[in-house]
Amino acid sequence: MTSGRGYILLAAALLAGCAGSIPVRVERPAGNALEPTTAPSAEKQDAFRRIPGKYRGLADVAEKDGDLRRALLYRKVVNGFAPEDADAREHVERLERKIRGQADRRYRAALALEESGESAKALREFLAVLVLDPYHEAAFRRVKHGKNGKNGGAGAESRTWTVREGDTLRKIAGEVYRDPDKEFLIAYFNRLPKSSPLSIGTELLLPDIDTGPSKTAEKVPGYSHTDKEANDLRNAAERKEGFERKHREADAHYAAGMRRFLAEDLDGAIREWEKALSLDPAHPKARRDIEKARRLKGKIESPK
Amino acid sequence: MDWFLSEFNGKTLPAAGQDVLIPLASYAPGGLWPTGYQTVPVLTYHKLSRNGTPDAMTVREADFEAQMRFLRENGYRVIPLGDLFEFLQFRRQIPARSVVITFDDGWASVYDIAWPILKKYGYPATLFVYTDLIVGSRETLSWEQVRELSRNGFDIQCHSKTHRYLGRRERKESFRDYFEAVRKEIVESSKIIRKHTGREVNYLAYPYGDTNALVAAMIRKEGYRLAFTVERESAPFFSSDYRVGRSMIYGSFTLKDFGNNLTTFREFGAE
Repeated sequence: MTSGRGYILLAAALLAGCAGSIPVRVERPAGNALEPTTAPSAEKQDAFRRIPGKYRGLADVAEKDGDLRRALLYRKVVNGFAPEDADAREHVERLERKIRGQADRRYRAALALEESGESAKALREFLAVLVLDPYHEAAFRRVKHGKNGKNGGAGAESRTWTVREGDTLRKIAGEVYRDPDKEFLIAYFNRLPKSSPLSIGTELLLPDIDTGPSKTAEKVPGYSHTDKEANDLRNAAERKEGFERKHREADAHYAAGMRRFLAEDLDGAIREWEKALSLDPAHPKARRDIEKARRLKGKIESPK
Repeated sequence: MDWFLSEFNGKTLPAAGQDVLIPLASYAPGGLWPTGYQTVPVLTYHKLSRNGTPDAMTVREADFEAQMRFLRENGYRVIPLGDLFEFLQFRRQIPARSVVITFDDGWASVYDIAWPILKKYGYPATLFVYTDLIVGSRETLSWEQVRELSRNGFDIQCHSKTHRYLGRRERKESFRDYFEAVRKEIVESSKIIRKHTGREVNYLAYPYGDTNALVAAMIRKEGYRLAFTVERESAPFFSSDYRVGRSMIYGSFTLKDFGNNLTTFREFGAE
């Protein structure tokens, strides 16, 4: 961004950090980099004096509206302009405490709601925690992956199993999936050779393998999936037929080119082989012979 | 990044003499605000046609153009799928009115009709191909065309190998056979796409939007980052990574119907 005349640039750095902490860097441009630096005009100096007052007001409004992170950001802008001002610093620290306190309170409330099975309300509270503190990892995990990773995010509908003495893949599959033959699934999901013994204490990932009906498809009005399959089959047949036709035509042009070549009609032969290649770019004989014909034509036509 | 500054400062263009706050990192990752949260519409098209509407899955060229113009004129920003992924991980802020455009299957009309229009508007798009369809007939794309799209703003991703229902076990299929068939659908297709485009395959659209818990777990295990259904909903950042909703755009849609699929913000209390 360029600095125009009378344009004031404030750079606020929003960095990852502790709850609600939004470090800010305030930059006061010395002037337009493209112009010789001169002492700031009285107009610019006035603007700099005006800015802290403006952001103090904005911070009050944001705090009243409940947007504490933005209020904190504005307070940091004020503090950046007057680092030695104890009152400005106190406002920053007060807001940081307030954000941390609210985030902790709402997180506890969210856990309680989750525990009592009120998942929609719990989600709302976890989101409120993230509004206050986007770097609250526990709240993020709950929102994204659910209580036990059941939302299908990183946890993708799975549970873990810690290997105990006497465990085998068959035994675990029998216990978890009610079918010892599904041992191959445990091996697959955990990258285990099927016959290798399990080490006690190893944690195995056991995904949910419910293959019940999907609720994620949409029935398209006037278009059934069966029709689509039929269309695909028809299309495949049409493709096959198209290919075969093209190959037949390419072969016919190749043969015509050969006849022309034997009749010493080089131009005619090249034309036919070009047609063959346009139908089947991979036609090996046409590709080979057209090159020969072109070289021969070049030799005949080149001055001795 | 003009949107980044203007959305934060609540102004379109700063005038001389105005002060502007410049955040140096995402200030609302995941589009989360005190009043609500952002949702991203992921639009799904299949075929396009120059005239007529042979079936619900075919959108006429004029309608598609009108829909792209609607996005431009109403302040929507079309973002690539990679940006959506970052948004869904709560790592990145994206424009408030972000939209993702996707095409399923691999029909030739994506190349002949959609691409020139997308180029005109400078919109990126994702093409989910089922690899058995890519043979270059009159109706379907060839790999040469797919490569050309890939070099020109299209992200080529996976829609299985044969377009079978991944979430359904056939009547005479054993569980083991079903598992192996699904694995083949998601692994082989990815290899084929990589071989032809030379690019990574990270995302999958379930054929018919159909999935189940086992398939979602396999998709994750095979290294896919996101998988998409066709549940008609815009995606908040806390969507399940392996069941991200998409909205199919039908040939019968009016512009109003189209607009109804573009929800980009949900207020708290209105969920």
